[in-house]
Amino acid sequence: MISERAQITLNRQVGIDIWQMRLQTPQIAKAARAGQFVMLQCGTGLDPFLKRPLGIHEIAADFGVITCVYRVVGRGTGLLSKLPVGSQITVLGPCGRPWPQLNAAKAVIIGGGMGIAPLLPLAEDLSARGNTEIYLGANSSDELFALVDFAKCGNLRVATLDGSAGVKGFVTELLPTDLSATEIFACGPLPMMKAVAELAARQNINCWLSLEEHMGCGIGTCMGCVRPIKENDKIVYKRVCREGPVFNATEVVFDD
Amino acid sequence: MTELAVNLAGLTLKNPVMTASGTFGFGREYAEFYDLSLLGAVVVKGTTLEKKQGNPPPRIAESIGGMLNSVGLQNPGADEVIANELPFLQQFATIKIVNIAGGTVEQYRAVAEKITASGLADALEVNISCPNVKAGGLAFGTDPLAAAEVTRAVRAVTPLPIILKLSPNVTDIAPIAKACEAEGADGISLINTIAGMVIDLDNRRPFFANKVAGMSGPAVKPVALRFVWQAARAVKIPVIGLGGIMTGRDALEFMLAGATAVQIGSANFYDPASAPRIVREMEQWLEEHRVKDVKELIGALEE
Ligand SMILES: Cc1cc2nc3c(=O)[nH]c(=O)nc-3n(C[C@H](O)[C@H](O)[C@H](O)COP(=O)(O)OP(=O)(O)OC[C@H]3O[C@@H](n4cnc5c(N)ncnc54)[C@H](O)[C@@H]3O)c2cc1C
Ligand SMILES: Cc1cc2nc3c(=O)[nH]c(=O)nc-3n(C[C@H](O)[C@H](O)[C@H](O)COP(=O)(O)O)c2cc1C
Repeated sequence: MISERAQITLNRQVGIDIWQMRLQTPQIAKAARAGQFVMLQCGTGLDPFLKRPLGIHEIAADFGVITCVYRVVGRGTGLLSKLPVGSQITVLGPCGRPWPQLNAAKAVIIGGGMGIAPLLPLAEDLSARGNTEIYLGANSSDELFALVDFAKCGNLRVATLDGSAGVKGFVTELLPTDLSATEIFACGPLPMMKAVAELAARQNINCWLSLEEHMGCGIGTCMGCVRPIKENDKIVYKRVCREGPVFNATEVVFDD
Repeated sequence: MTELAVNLAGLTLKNPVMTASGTFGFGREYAEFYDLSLLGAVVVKGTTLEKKQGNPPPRIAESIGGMLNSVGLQNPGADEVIANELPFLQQFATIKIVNIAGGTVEQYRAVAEKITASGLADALEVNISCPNVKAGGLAFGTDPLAAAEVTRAVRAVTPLPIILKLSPNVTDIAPIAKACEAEGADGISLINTIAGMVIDLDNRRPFFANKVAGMSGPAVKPVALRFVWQAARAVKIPVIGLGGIMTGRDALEFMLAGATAVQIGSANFYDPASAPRIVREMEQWLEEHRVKDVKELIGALEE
């Protein structure tokens, strides 16, 4: 785990309320693996006090940079979007456990909304193996990003609720009926991940989900970001920042 | 050379800076950022007799210049802490303090006994800010009689120095601090978090399942300073000051108010290397102001 002063080298709007930020973080870029996240300071002083967790969207270790894509939803991300290129913020990372190694013939990647962001490094890692199916969904085309990057990594299909890009409907409606010999990697809104988990359970295939929760430290000490997780028939609270953010779908409790 | 060492309840701390319980885990994560031997002492996560699940999420919210938490003392329980957590800390040349908590006096006594018997703690910090199961959820630390009862029970089973950690959610801290002193406490630490609330307007609901949560961080510093100052005037045993300390200057202000040592809490979340940075900043200020020994500042507020 590394705490780095990072220079912002790019911070631009890429969709309605969606921004892309590139950060000069040589040490974190070197250590980061697909599926991990960073904690970003959203101002230059003591306020906002807590860092915000954002998935790592691009890892360019050779150039010492990482990229995050974030939606402006509140105070922290609002301030983040106003930070000028050239300013410096503290970045903590890489946090959490990466996506596990593919353990089936074929990978199925499913992203919804901002959950698309942390899936790109995974798609890139898997692209060398070929045979990756990628399904991305959003409310509307102006909330989709990185489509060209994803298309380079596998077979990409897109769904939007308003039909402005790809098929009109939920991303889960794009999935093939037979998923045998695949392994699913998904990140998105809870209802999407619940539907994906149920599908995986019905077909008895392995499925990994990346979860979110409000965080304090991001490194495992404050016990703040727990989610209810099944463990040997019991439900225990596990830290999204340490044991997660990636959990096996069979462990995740959806109705709390 | 500036002298940074302080004496606390028979222990010598190489400097007055320690970590605050619940913001430092059991030290492992922070050991990735710096050598824990740089600290005067470390205080680990609140440990209860049995494993504790804690409260349902969300557990963390932000406020202006601070935060609220509703963790609810999630911890693996005393046996697990002794077997798997405390041994890790033994490699560091720093004082190890185990923070203990309970819902009944008997639980405090039992956990104090276990930690003492393990031989892995140099002192106990007794958190009496948790709800007293028997008294219907009222914190032990809000009633001088209940505070005295816990102090007496723990004192009876341990030869280790005991530090009673007091709650700021009281009208007058003096009688509670005095009650702990009278029953044999070797020190007191304050403040624990201030009871606060967050409301989710759009959903018209309390943000936390528990409704009320504990506030901490730089926003609480003035309140914490006032409590430390009042407590230090009420007792002769050493006082450990905490609440919103972010810098060396903050730490020295607490010492002027009467603290012998300080704890760094939420600042660990802001900057994981806060604690050793604060040691350096304190030393720098003392040098700049030609203070040879940090002890000269303890309670030296000119009133
Ligand atoms: C592991 C992880 C990865 C994430 N990756 C991304 C990403 O790549 N892109 C993206 O746009 N968003 C991502 N999020 C969600 C993002 O962290 C929140 O949208 C952001 O923290 C909101 O901050 P705010 O100050 O703008 O909102 P506010 O609502 O003002 O925030 C108040 C507090 O609540 C916390 N909070 C609010 N919503 C969330 C949430 N959904 N998850 C966690 N904490 C929250 C904030 O961090 C802050 O402490 C991720 C969350 C987690 C846990
Ligand atoms: C996430 C979190 C967990 C905490 N857990 C404990 C605990 O287990 N036992 C305890 O005595 N205090 C606990 N505290 C209180 C702190 O030790 C400290 O008293 C308080 O946060 C004020 O200091 P600060 O403003 O520097 O954080 C916790 C605080 C936070 C923020």
